[in-house]
Amino acid sequence: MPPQVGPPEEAASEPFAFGDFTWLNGANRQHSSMLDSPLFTGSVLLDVNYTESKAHPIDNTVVGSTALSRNQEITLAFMGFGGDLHYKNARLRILMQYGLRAELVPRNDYSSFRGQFDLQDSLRYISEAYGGYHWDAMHGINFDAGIFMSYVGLFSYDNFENWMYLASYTSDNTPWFFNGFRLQLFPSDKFKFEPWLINGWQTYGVFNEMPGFGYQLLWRPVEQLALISNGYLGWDNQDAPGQWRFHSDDSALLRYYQDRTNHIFSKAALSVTFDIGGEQGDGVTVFGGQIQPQSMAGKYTCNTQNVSANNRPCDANFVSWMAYNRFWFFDDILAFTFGGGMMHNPSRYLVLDPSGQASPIPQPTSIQGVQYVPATTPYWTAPGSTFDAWDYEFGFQYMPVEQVTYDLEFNHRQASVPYFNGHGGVTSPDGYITTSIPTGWRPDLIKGDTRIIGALLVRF
Amino acid sequence: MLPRFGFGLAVSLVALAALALYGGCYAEGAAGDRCNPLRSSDECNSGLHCSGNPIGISVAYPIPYCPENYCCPDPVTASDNPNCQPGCNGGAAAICAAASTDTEACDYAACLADASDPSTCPVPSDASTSSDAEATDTSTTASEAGADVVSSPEASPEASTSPEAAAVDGSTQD
Repeated sequence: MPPQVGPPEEAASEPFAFGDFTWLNGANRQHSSMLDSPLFTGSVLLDVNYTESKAHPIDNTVVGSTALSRNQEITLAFMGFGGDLHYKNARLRILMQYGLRAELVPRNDYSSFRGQFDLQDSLRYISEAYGGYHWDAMHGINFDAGIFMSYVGLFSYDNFENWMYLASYTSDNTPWFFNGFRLQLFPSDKFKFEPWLINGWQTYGVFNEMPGFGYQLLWRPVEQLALISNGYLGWDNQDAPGQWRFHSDDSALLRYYQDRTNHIFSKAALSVTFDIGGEQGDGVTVFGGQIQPQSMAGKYTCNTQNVSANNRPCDANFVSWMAYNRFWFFDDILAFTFGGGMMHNPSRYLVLDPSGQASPIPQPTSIQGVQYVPATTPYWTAPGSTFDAWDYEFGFQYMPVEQVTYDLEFNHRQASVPYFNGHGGVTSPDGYITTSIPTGWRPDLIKGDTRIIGALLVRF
Repeated sequence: MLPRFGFGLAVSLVALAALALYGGCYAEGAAGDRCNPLRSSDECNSGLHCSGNPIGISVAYPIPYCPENYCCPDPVTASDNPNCQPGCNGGAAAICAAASTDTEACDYAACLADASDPSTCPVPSDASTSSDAEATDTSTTASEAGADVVSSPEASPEASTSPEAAAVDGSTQD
């Protein structure tokens, strides 16, 4: 009697392969990789930008961005190369990074000031480096370790994947990478749960005694809709082991129109993101604490106890939103996007610190060996300090092929306190680091920043 | 292929035109705006001069107790921009905060803070050279002095986040 043969076991469907999600903000719009092979899928990225600020700073420096660094100069912002190695169930991804972003992003990580061995020099040229194993359980389980991209703030670290080149504060002021472990669980082909155990909030090292914890929930029930929720809990301030930070980042993306037969107006979609977070303990509280202007510096104390009006916990929270709408034209060759957002961040713990003579932290020696003069009037980042900001922007992206994007956009940012780089710059009287700085010289920080941005992005 | 090329060319021309047009729309050069005193030519608007800390072309147009440089008329009257007045809108306090031994600047800053009429605060005849005389030159030397200062506790991130940090009137003020 022949053995009884049951129906062949069906392989679980691949997550998110049921639809075309190339329309998403923060996701790759390419339908296939040109550098694919059974063992290795290569990636090569190039990002060159040019930006003009209305203030025309004499030191050609941009303040307050992780995407832009230099004004009035053609800038190689990012050059990345690497790829994915995949054999059986083993996986490894490496993406090196060169260009200004290798300086722009790591400079915001103060955990590297702890202890010896230069974490920033060691790791700044690594954009992604993680490896792990894939299990064929459910619709897939991955366990990885290393440096991997953060999903907080919707926009991708790779500007080729974004609807706009310069993201609003909600994305620009939240993490781009994490260093640690992650587990990716796909219980269905429409849902992912991804917990993280990481060193901290975009940090190479650990600030206090505890690591950071986080997660992502990603649900794409249909091709037209994506819902994303990221959460974080950590201890990310120097010498403040009792001060914990939480953050929630939630996005919804909807493609509300698509007509493939319409060769003029082919698609329309929007994205909405809302963030809320805060810090609690060691002198700060999420809500209900004191907020003070810089003129009150030295006249108030952020106390754990509620002693008096000027001697009690200080407010430390982050509330922000951003929204974008995008139209695609001419069979997706051209796109127009407009949007903007707001940010409220008392204690300024997620504000990107200005550089140069406005930097509140020690500056490195320049590559030419010139020692920066310590700032005498740095940007004020004390607990309880105020910061509110908003922005709006619009722009076009011309995408003649799937591998190339030309970007042209207009951006205006506004802050409640002097923050952006004015004409006088943040470097010295003539903008060069080799020029002597008069005693008491103040960086020229202003409240508004208006600029136009052009970029060429190539990805294989 | 040709229509796509033509379309791309049109988009590129629009982009270049936008950049060129925007690039010519700089707004600086008005009274009270910052200026570069070391430029070979004065970037201030007609009738104004790059004034303030007496270096470069500003040597001819000093502003007492002013560590920066601003576009200002000559002569300056009390109704002109605050950045053009003696002490340049917080400059004296900034000098005092950076060098508390500069008693003249500190006295002048204190007087400005207390006086209802700033013109009552006396400006010594040689005050215009005050900040320039104490200009730091560590930036040009990559010296050990700079490294020492960077590693000092006052320059640490911890110090910068303390609300007890001294307030300085000036452009970075809230």
